[in-house]
Amino acid sequence: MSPGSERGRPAARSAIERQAFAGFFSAIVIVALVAFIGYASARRFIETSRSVAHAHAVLVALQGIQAALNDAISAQRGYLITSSENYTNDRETAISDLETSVQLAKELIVDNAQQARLRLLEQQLAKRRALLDEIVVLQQTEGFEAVRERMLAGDTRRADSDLRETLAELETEENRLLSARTAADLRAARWMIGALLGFIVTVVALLAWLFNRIRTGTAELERTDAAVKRYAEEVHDLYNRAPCGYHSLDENGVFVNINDTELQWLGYTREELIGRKHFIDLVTEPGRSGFAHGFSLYKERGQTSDVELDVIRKDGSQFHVLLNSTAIKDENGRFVASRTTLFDITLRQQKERQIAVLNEQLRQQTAQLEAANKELESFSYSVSHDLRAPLRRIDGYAQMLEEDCAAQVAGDGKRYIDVIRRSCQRMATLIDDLLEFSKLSRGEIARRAINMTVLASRAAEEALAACQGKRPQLIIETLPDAHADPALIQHVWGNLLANAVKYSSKREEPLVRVSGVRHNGSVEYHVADNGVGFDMRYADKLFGVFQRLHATDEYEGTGVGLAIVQRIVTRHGGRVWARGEPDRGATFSFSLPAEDA
Amino acid sequence: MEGFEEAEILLVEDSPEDAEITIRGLKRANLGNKVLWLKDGEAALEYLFADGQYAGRPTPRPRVVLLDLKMPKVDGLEVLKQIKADPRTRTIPVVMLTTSTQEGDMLRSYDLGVNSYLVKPVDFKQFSEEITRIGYYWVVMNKVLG
Repeated sequence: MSPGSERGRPAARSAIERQAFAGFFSAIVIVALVAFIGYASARRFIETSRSVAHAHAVLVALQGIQAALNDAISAQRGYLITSSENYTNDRETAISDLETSVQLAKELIVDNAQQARLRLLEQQLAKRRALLDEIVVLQQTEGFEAVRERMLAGDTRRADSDLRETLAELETEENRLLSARTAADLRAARWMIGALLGFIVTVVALLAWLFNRIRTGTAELERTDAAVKRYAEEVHDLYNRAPCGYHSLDENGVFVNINDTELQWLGYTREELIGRKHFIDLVTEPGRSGFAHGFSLYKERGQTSDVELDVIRKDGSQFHVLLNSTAIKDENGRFVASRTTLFDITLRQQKERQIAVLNEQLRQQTAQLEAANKELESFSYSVSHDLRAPLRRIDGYAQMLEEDCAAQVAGDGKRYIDVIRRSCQRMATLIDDLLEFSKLSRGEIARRAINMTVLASRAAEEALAACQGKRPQLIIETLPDAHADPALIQHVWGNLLANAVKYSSKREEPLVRVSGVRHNGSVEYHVADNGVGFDMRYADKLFGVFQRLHATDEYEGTGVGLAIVQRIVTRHGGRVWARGEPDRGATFSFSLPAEDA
Repeated sequence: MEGFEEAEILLVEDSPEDAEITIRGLKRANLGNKVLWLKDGEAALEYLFADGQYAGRPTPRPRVVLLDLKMPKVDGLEVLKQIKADPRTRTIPVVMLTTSTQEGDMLRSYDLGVNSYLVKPVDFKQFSEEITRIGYYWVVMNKVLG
């Protein structure tokens, strides 16, 4: 399911193997070392044991010499006393033994000092044998008395004691060697035992360490296995509960895996799909042929993205999906399985269709609006031309009537003509204002930074210049800058200030105050006067076209000015409002969105 | 038809009432005797180019043409265009008279080379004053080229 966990393994495995190999190798080295020490000490022990045995053999040989010598002397004596041939034989045997023993000792003794002693012993033995032979001959030729005489000479005794002395020296030396070798042998034995013990201890320690390693390794493996299992479960869970559909197909396009989400969408069980169904069978016809072609191409290329398909549910209904897929390949580049993500974009498709329909509606409406605008333009053109032309004629002819027929239209007639002409003027003003309103309501808004203090001051000057009543005292505070269409905003100031001047002109001390404040996201401006004011009950009528709260003969005006103000401010995304009280003045305010809002 | 050649002011206006009012204004300025009134653009062009009903006559050169903008058949803008496009008539001053306050007409007229543009006020007195002013300026004060 997850490729990452498999990819991570070989590295970890080789690390473990390396560790195990190092441990095993050092164990072998340690065991070999200890074994070698044991072997060396055993060899030494064998060597020392052999030399001890050798010393023993030498001693035995020396004792053999002693014994054979004694036997020979004893047999000699027997012969001398008895002159029996039996003793002669005994003596010969003893001498033969003596030679054998000497020969043995010669073979055994390697030490130089001992060899020297042995050579001395041989000479002494030869001398003694010569004496023995001489005495036997003396006995046989001259008789026992001559023998006694010869013996009393004392050199046999001396030869015997020399021999004994040499033998004793040999034995003493050999005994010394024996005891020294025995001590060495004991040391070697101790060494060997020590080495053996060391070997055993090392092997036991290594075994204990190995056992511990295996035990901790097993625990570690168990922990890793548990973590891997947890991770796998988590991945499995994520896979199944993802908000998108996941599936994998084999090279023939048959399902090999699918998540719960997609199953839920399709209405199939996992068993019905895996190994049984081709995904292509779930795709509707227009997409099916494209998919058949695209699947082989995809297997080559390794991926496909943002394919839109209609998929059929088990119950026959359809939904629209967005498909993205990556091909999983083995190390030889052979296709193994697809890894595919599906998003249900039915809603998005519906929304897109709705948007398309709405866009079309909007386009039609815009076209209608444009047509209506064009119509309105030609209408206002007609108004400006066709309504004004007759008015001018009425006015002109009324004037001509007054001028040319003064005699006939004297008195009331002249007043009637005045009314006709005034009405014409008013009608003309209404038409002009209406056209102005219409013009300002359309057209583009070209926003830029405006110094409102300058703009308001200029409008105020114009309003004062046009003032026919008493000129008010004018206070213009420093106003916050605005971001708007200056030409249009000039109309706003012009209308508001003209109104303020007009409606306060009948006061004793008329006063107009202009102020402004910057809020978060908007700027706000106020024009306050101490004029006639208005009843708040009629506040909603203030901004309507041709809506007036005062009689025309009281205050001039067509009732378009505030409608223009409202239209301009609203088109800028701002707001207009007014507060007033009859005879206590009015405050007209407007707000505009700040540049950064 | 005598006196056409002497006409100093050519008034092209489809409405007889407006023409009467205009001529009355011109009379006040003592310019009334030198006005030729033609009722549409076609007649005006034929007159200016000595064509059609005016064929064979010497080419007249009025001091000023007062041209109504909105007329049937050939409208004021078309007449203006032809006057200003032809070298023979190009230097004749043309004053456009209109009832319309629409800016578009004014801009197009200036594009075509109009010399002056008058939005006829509804007020007769004002209108008379304007006409008088224009009459004086173009007929009396202005030295016509050529």
